[in-house]
Amino acid sequence: MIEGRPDELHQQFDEVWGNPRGWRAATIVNHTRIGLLFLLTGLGFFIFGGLLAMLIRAQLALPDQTFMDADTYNQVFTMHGTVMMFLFAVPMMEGLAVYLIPKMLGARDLVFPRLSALGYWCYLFGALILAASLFLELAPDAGWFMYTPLSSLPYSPGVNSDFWLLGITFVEISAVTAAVELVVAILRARAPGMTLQRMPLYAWYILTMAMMIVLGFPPLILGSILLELERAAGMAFFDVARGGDPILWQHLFWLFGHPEVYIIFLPAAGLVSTMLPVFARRPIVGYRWVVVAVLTTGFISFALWVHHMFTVGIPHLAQAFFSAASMLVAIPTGVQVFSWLATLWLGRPVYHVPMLWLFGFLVIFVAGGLTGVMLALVPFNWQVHDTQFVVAHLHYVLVGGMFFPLVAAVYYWLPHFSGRMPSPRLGRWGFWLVFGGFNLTFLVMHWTGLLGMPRRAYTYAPGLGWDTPNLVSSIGSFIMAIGIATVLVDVLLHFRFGVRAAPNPWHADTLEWATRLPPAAYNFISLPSVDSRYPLWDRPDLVKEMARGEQGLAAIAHGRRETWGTDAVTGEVREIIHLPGNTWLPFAVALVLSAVCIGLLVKAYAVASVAIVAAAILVLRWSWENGAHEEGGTAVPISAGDPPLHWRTHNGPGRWGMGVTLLADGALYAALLFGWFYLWTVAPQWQVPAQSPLDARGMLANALLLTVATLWLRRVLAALRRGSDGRLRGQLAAIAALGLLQSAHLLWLMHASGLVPKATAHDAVIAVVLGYTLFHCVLAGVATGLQAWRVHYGYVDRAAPYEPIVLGQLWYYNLGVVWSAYFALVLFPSTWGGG
Amino acid sequence: MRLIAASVLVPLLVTARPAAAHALSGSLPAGFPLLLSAGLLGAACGLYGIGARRVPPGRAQATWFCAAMAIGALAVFGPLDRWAQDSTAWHMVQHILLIVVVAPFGALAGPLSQWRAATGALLRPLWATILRCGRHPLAAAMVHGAVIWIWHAPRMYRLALDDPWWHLLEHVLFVASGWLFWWSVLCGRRLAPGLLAILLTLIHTGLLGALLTFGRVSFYGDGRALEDQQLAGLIMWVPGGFAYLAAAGWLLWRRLGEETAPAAVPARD
Repeated sequence: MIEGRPDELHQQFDEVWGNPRGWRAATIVNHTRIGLLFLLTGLGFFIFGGLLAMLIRAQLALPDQTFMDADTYNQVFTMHGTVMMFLFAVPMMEGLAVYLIPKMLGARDLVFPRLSALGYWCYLFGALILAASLFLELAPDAGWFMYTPLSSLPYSPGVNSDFWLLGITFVEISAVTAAVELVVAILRARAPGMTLQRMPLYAWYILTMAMMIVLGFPPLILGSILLELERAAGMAFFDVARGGDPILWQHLFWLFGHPEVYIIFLPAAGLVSTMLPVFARRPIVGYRWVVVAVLTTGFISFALWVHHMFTVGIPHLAQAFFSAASMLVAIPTGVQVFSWLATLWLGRPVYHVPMLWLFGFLVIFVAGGLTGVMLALVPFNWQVHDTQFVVAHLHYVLVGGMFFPLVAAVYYWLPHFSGRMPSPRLGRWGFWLVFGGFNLTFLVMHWTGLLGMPRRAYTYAPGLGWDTPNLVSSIGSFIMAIGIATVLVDVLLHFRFGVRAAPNPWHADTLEWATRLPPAAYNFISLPSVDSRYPLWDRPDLVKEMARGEQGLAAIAHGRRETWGTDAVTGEVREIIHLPGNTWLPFAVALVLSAVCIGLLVKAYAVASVAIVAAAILVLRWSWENGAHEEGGTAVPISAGDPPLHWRTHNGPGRWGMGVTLLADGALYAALLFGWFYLWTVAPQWQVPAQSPLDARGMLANALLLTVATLWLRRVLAALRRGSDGRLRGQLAAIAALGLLQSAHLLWLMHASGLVPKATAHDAVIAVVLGYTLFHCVLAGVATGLQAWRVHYGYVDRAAPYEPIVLGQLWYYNLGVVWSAYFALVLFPSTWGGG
Repeated sequence: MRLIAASVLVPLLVTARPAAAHALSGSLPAGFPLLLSAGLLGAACGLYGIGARRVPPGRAQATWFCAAMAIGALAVFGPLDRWAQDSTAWHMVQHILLIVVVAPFGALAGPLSQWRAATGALLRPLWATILRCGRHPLAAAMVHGAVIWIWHAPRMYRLALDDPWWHLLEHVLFVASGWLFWWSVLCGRRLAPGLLAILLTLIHTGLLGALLTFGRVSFYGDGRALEDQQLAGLIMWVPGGFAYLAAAGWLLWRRLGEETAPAAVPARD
């Protein structure tokens, strides 16, 4: 495997993996750079959101302040929440995972590098559009959860809410793409021998978080699309008079919002579980317990969303059940907290700066958890609902649960970013200022809330007993801000004055410390095999062996970017994942998508339509440069004895990526069907026409047509798996044509139905379901046509059977969509009231 | 694929021709469906007993089987069935018992080897088909989910209430699809699809529970109390969800224990 001395090897790797400079830096796709960009952008928005918080506290410091008027204040607090949640917390945690996960798993990159780049650019552009609204004084002002009807057109006529709905949806593309990528990377690109049981705990946390994003974000994306359709196109979903229901928004929002809390907390807890054992100098106590606790936390969060809605008038029985069920969350969280305490207890802890922040985390997060249990009690919840008590609680949970571990992590991984060690002195000052300032602000705020001060009030009259606690909170918040500034200065100074870091400076157990500091773009010269849970503790020489190119996959002369593809459970090597190189495509797609976003915002629908077509063309071009396409360096064959490149197999990472993406898609569709049934059974003025607008037989014929096409494709794929590609091109082309015929028929059915989506929610939901179906069927048809074309070019055949198999899943998914739409839209109405 | 097709076709025929329902019960005595239920349960037990002589089950498996059969008998022949006539909540308790108690217990018992031993070559294709289906937790979850949702459509629900034949069919489908689901999840070798199948089932039963809980009118007839229906929804949503949660935790716990972790001591100076 060894082709030369390590330095020469590094040079050769750099030629394939290296990052270009200047304006070409926008083409970089490797995870280290993308992860850093996520972190830096997240930091920028953290400072932005923090400044907004300062404005809020300045306004509330004294009664009857005139520093801001009510309108400005509404924009500022809405943007503070939105920025901190969507533009800071989630991207920051995902960015850190994007940076760390491949290194921890002993891989060279994530499995879909171009997708990570797309995610980053979507995040940046969407966030900039959203942030720009504040400077145009058009920022969203209906609160960070945008409750209807306040955010509906009659009560928010301006473009403010549209900024939120479009901007956040745009940013969420990035969250979902990163999540898909992390799931597949964790399951399919681990170091050989890294079984699930040997996986670092952080990977378990990120796997859970990413799956929660995949299933939890789509309901909000759907809700945003529906609300935007109602606002911009006049369709009815949340309008009671036309058969909608504003509470549906709350369900969709909290279907997302409740998992969101854990999407933010779990990765932070994962950081704690990574750092704490290193500083306690022993393996974590109860690995198995922690893994089960993390997973069950994720599961529970999908059933508990209603406890955010205790005061909207849900049945008393539901309140009782969910009050009791909410207590359940304390169990898995408690398991983790006790595991951390036991690790400290049984270890021999050393106290560096990161440990201070971990202690701060334990204290503040546990306190926030306790107020959470208080809020789960319905009578108490009613008492403090919408008061400052809730504000204090959520800041204890989020700042304690996410920000403190994050700062600990920044200090811990600083050598990774700079190659230097942090200094203990300034860091301690920073910690105590933040810790003291935070508690001064928010501990007191509990009291303000108990005294009855509502949240989101832009000012208050003097003499209500709120003056002193508010002043104290404001002073505390400025102390906290000074503390954060101290931390930032400390981090900046260390780049200049920090001591050079030795390899693996904290004596950690995980593989990310086997890179150079700071790491090269390809992470490792050779990829390690792992036979324990703590590779660097058990094999101290591993780092040197990897750097000398003595471990796996050290060849680079072929000019391909490669990493191992391994089995999801056993970690056995399955294939070599052939990764794409730097490209403009993700940047260009994100740029065009932001044109779509802006076009929709200013209601320039012609511009938006052109941009959508451009985006579609770019994405198809992207899919063209794949697999056997010359672009990727396919000329040199693999070495004898190596496993095949992934696009020569039947079950590479793309198949998993498609599966996880379709899960997200399915979550969106399921939320849509839930909306249909919900409005049907709950909306106070639901209106059903006497005669269904849909042609039942036509719908059945349409579904049968798709079934025929899908079964045909299934036969073709089965033959391809057996190694036979006879008449592949013709069959794929015919299937594509059949699919497009079915799409055209569906379009005709929609047209002939005479739906009036502006008149009733009934018609509006049907129109969206049919539109969703049509989009997917057209997509499958076009993609299959493209496959036929690729067969023509020789990119797809029995030696490269990968892509049609990946695509097949979309057809199966569409079949499920079409039939469930038939059941829900055609058959269900006829069974209603039949009893 | 075949499973999905079947799950699509059966209810299709059913909803298309509701009149056929009553033709079924025309000529036979009224108590016959109940007798048939007892017969099915008895056959399951009897075949298991015969098979157990040839292929003795483990003690745990035999216990699971007996528990499943006893609870199944209690759910179907006990007072629950009578209470379920007027109460959506009791009806839900009956179904939840079948879906999240009887079915998983039956799956853990793994009675296929005993049944196969008892029936010989006669039913071998059936067992082979079941074994094959058991390899696909997500497909099994989808079929099971479709069965659950379809039987909650008001007309189907009323049909089962009014006609013991339909009720029998409903129970058979619940237990059979549930058993297949739990078997593929709990006894299959594929961890990730199994966990995902449980999660998706947890979520969609929660959504169905939410509809029952928040519905403004009684879905299954004006005579039924709305609170009763809310309770039914919550039983499915919360205690039902707890069963899925426990199953997921147990599954992961068991799998993580298969390999003992190396006892590593940090190498530190």
